[in-house]
Amino acid sequence: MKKILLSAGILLFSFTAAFSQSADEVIGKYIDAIGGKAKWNSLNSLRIEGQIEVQGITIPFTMSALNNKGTRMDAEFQGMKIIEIVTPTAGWAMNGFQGQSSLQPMSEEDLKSNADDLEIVDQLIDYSTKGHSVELLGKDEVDGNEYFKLKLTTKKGNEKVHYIDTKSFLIYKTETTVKVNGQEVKQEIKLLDYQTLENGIKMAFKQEVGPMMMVTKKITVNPAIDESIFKGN
Amino acid sequence: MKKLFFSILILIATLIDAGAQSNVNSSYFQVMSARALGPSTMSGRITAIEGITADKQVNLYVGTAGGGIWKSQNGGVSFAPIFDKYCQSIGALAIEPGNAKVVYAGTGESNMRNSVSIGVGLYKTTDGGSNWQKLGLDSTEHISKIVIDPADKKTLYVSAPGPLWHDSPHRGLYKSTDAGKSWQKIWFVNNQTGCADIAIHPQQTNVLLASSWQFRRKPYSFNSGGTGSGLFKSEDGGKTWRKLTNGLPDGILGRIVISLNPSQPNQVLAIVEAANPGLYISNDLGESWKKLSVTENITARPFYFSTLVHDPKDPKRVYRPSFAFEYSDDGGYSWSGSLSGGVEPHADHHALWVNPLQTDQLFLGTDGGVYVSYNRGSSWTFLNNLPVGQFYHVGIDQKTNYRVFGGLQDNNSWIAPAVKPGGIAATDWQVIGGGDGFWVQVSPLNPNILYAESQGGEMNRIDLSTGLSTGIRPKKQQGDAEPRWNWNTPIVTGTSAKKTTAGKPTYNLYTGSQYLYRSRDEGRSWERISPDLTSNDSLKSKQTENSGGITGDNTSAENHCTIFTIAQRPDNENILWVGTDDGHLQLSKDGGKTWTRKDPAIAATGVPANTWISSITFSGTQKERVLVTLDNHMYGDHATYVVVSEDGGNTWKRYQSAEFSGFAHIIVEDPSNSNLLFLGTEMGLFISLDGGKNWMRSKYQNLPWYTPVRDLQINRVTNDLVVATHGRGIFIIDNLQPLRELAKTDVNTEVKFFAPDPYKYQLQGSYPQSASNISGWVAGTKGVLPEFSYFLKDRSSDAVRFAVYDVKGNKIKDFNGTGIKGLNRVTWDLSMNPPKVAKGGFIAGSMVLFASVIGPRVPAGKYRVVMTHNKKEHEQWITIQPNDDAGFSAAGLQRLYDQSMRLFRAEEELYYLVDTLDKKLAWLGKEDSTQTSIQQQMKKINDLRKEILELNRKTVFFDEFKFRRRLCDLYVSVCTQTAPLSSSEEKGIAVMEQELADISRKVKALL
Repeated sequence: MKKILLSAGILLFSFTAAFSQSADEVIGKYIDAIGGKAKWNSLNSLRIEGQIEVQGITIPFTMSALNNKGTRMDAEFQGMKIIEIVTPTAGWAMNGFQGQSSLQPMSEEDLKSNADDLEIVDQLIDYSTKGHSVELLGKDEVDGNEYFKLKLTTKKGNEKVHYIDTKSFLIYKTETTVKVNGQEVKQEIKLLDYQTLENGIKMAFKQEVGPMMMVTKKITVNPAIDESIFKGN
Repeated sequence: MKKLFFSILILIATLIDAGAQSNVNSSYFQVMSARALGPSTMSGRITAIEGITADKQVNLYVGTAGGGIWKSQNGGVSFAPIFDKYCQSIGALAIEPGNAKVVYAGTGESNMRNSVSIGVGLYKTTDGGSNWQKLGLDSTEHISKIVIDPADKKTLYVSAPGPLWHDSPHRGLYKSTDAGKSWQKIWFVNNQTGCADIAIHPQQTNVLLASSWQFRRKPYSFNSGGTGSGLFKSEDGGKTWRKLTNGLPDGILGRIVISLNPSQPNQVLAIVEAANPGLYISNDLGESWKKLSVTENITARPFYFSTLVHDPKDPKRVYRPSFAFEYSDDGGYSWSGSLSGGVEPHADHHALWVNPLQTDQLFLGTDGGVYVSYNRGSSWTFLNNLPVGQFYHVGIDQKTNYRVFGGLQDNNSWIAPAVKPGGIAATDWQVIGGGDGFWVQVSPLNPNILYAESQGGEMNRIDLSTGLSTGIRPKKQQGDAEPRWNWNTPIVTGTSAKKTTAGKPTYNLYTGSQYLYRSRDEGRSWERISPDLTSNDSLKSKQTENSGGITGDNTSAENHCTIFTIAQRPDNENILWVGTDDGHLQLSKDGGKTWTRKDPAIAATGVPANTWISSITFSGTQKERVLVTLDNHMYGDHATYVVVSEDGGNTWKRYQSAEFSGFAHIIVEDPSNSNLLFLGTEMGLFISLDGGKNWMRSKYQNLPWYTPVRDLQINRVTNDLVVATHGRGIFIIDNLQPLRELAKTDVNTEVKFFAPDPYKYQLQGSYPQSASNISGWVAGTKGVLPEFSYFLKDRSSDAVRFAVYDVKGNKIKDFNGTGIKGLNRVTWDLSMNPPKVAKGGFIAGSMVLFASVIGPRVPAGKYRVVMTHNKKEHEQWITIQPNDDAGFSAAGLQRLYDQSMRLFRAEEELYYLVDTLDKKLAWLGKEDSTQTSIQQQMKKINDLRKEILELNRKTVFFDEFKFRRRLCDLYVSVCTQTAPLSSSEEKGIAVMEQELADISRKVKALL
């Protein structure tokens, strides 16, 4: 009996192995899980309002984005402003915490690493026509759960690894690697609290970066956005 | 048939499922992350260094003997470990030419000393070390070199000396022509002979030179050399091989090291181990050889020093890192080792990388870490950032503010605090004994008295109050046989009920050769309390004199038939257990008068007879329980042997688990929860929460998954687990209490918020701290603040929120917790939410900003803590107790709180006053601004704002002191005090309140 069990067990495992998935299969299921391609492609602009929470402190923010034209983030704490503007050709930032009181142009390096934010339609949708490439790095265990590790290299050359839940097919964590002075620095964002928006797409309403939580309170789909807000000076 | 198959399938599916249910893994308590104490000031054995310049940065990959692979992207200024999920013993590394991200790593180092670890094959990364794939060669156990064909990066050669402790067909030279996907063994001599070295011609890449090496270790001897050893050449990419002999020594050879001169490839140097060893030069690609004169350093310890490197550009410059560092400027004819300035590199070298773009720059791997030279080896500096020391044992004080002590392979005995303000820096580690370090013990009665050892049973008593060290090894007495001391001789303390003649308490100190010795006077005198407890097998015990093979090597490393482990029951000093390296487990119940062997009963559990006893420990709760680990790897058997007896050693049960790997070094049982067990093996730390039924590998406690764990201690006062690794120094998992809770929790419970223990008020000390510019590797400091632990069955898809309420029901604090599966732990910093602070002006870097993020610390008392998870609330109460010993009395805490709150209320009042002014201004702004009365009113408000706020401040380098700033200064200062203000100082608050009252009147007058 033991022997039969064992051989059946082996069979079962080889059976499962045969079902190992390709990158495109995983991406397909991911896109289904977040509402499907059609709904995402109807997205042209977004406004996200929420707050950053850290140790009992809250910092309200608003993010406005016009697909492939511009994004702008405004946050304020104790009268100090944090603004970040990215367009396909230029970017500006101001960090009141660091003592800046006016918008400063972004470095080439920062502009490149922020360029992906311009795509408000999920980057994995039609990734190859957008000039991005993917590689499935297999499965990995994170926090005791199993995830597909999908590496995305964007047209701009930014690399990120998405950890896609093997059951829900939603992204749990994204690791990005940024080069600073020729040295790689890893950053990690966990995506939580997925909610379905009025147009049927699904987005994470909470993003955890270390001890900091970005909490989304409201998302407006396809709001009218005046392009002039993307002008830095 | 189909039906049967289907039902079996379902059965198995349920079995697997059921397994998964009970199979809690270490991610369930990942919040219990270990602090890595280092040290880096004394690093560990480096086995491979490869480098490449990419993006104008020198990228280094450093392989270690037991600490995995470390990567630097800034020429060694800082490193990060990149191989923590795999076998930690690294034999060889190779970077694909021109691609800093493609790296091959061969596990299992080939510096074949007695304590060498064992590899599990070859790995590859294509992204600079973030992800690794296994390429095979699983059974080679030791890999000495990986060579990539310079003309075709898909062609690779891997030389595998192969297993050290047993015959094996898995040795020789392996080749891949598809970048590692598939492998072929292209050269094999016999089951005792592997491939030690390989060199490839830089242009004619079909030309290879390789050396075969016959070698073997037994627990009691080492042999290098045999008829299998030789130097060979292939001219067809390894298909056929020809032995080279012309000019080389006759007779039996040992290990041979090859270096092909890259800028003059017909010239080859070889160090040949032979009865008459030497350095040989060939100018015709190995066809004929001539012997050169050498220093002793060139031919020293061939099994251990196998590095010889030509300068990449200068055909005359050659380096021989060996026992010491030597270089030649005439192609190997003469050698020098003179240094100018800097530090002398640690002895025993195994790796050297010469930066080909900057050949003055050398990175040297030694038994004590990495050294860098910027002048071709004339002077060196140490890289104080690699915590890869190899501890054999660790000792601790059993108290709150405790120290850790232990001995490092080749690197002295050390002491460091386990807790220190700012964390434990490299500079906090101090030497307390020389030689290779092993056991260090502290006197249970005098914290200034330590016992430390060096190899072969040399032992000293160190008095920290005088700094003096005295040798205390027991001397041979009349009638004794010549004592045999293990390389790693035990020295342990035991409690005693005896008193000195003066009535003072005493303790026992034990050590053992083949005999057991006991001292009751700190090692001043010893009593032999056993006969020879070993097999005293002359075949094994006498071999050490002839050890080494061709090159004699007798350093006590092969001493055998010796006592290896000693344990005295803490509650009965007459009960003594002794384990020997030849497999005798001996018990005395009468303080050493009579002895009984208990190992024959262990054999019944399937452990081979004569297996080395590696540790003996007791249970804190079960009197008759004895736990024993055994290690048979020196006979080629890597199985994990752990047994337990519930009846004082008469019968034994073996702990087994599919999770286990690596031979076993140590098992300890938690003193308060006997279901909680910790096992250290050569391949990781294993934990059981159910008394040994199920085991899990520690993957989430910040330890490398396969780290060699040599010793474990539990601090019974702080409940910390101290882990001694042989490759990554000391780790401490602080406070096991949540793990004890987990051991008692049904993991199918959806959510559980554990009742927090009453908390005694404490704050993190700040000083003295180490100077940050020389601190090297720094371990995180131990948290002292109250923590809330909770269990979640599944990962939370939403934030887990916490709110703290005072006894009156006021919410005083909000924070978020983590939402991971299993145990979660969140810290409350004892503060309240910060006050609202008046807005206006530029406040970056100012106390005004700090005031808006700092809340007053709460006084002693009871607090209700509400956790919200998935919209459901769970609550617990925590009692914050005063701590008079630490200077936090109930009255003092209350007074500090009251003072803070006066200023807190002042801050908020000012906020509302300014807010009122701002609103009024905004309202006036909407009115007809041409009216003079409106203009006047606005001016008055703005003038008052300027009086209150720092509106002239434009940069962080300009301080302006208006009322708001002065209030914030005082508020922050009081909130961060560790004691309340005195009555006279408290008057400063009243002054501030008075000024605020004036402002309030002025504001009201303007409305």
